[in-house]
Amino acid sequence: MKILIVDDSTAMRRIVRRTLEKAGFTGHEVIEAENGALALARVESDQPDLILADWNMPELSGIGMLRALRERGIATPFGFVTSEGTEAMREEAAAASACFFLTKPFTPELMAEALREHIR
Amino acid sequence: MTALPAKRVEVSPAGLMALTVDALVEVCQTMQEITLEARGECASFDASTSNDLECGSTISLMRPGKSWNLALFGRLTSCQTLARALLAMEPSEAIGNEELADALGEILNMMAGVAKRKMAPEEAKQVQLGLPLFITGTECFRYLAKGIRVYCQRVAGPAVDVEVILVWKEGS
Repeated sequence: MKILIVDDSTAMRRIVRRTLEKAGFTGHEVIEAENGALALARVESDQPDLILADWNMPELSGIGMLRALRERGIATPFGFVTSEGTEAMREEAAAASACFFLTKPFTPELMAEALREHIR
Repeated sequence: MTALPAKRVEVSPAGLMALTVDALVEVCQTMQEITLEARGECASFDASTSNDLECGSTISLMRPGKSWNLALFGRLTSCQTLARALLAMEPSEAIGNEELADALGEILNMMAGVAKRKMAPEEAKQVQLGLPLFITGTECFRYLAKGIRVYCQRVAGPAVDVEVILVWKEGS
């Protein structure tokens, strides 16, 4: 599988990548983007199978990116990995067709639980 | 029919500081496997008696008519220990300023996110998180002069001794 990690923090992209491996999701191709706008271009060019995105990012937020993808008819499974996780945000994410919502801080076990259904 | 104003739930400085310290402990335990604990009591910040503040990161929690800034300041070695642990680096590995700023910013971001999740839902709804800002040297003290009230709580653990700082602002 090809997994796209979208986060404006280099540190967090590194942590998500490392936690994916610790959670047992090894052998996948992982690609990265720094914000929603750059990620939209990467989705078009690289066609990932799964997208893990932060919510708050400059240029284009995670929720903005998800809506833009769906407006373009791109149905790639999309989940949030974010520091904020109010009930209202979870509802907004679900309404926009996000398939999971993982809040930071997270352990490999929590990530495994959130992604199990979505990584082959 | 006139709409009723949204119910406002007030958070006291002591309540917010307690939430924040708990959030930092949770973040460091979960992401870095570092056990931290509060040392002493939360007090008003006093530059003359405070530990050396060499660098740190700060984040705004904005809400209508009021804002708070949360900060994590400490000696460079403590901040580097936290950053290295987050990035899974060896204790002896060199860490650049850019990596340090990014890692501390993420710690602050997670800390603020956890604190917000632990607020009463009506309060949390009004709070918007800003972007983390990395500060070094005398800028740390200059930054602390911006609040009308500044509180600090020492938090420490193995090779880490930092100050969690709450800058309280009103009318902004």
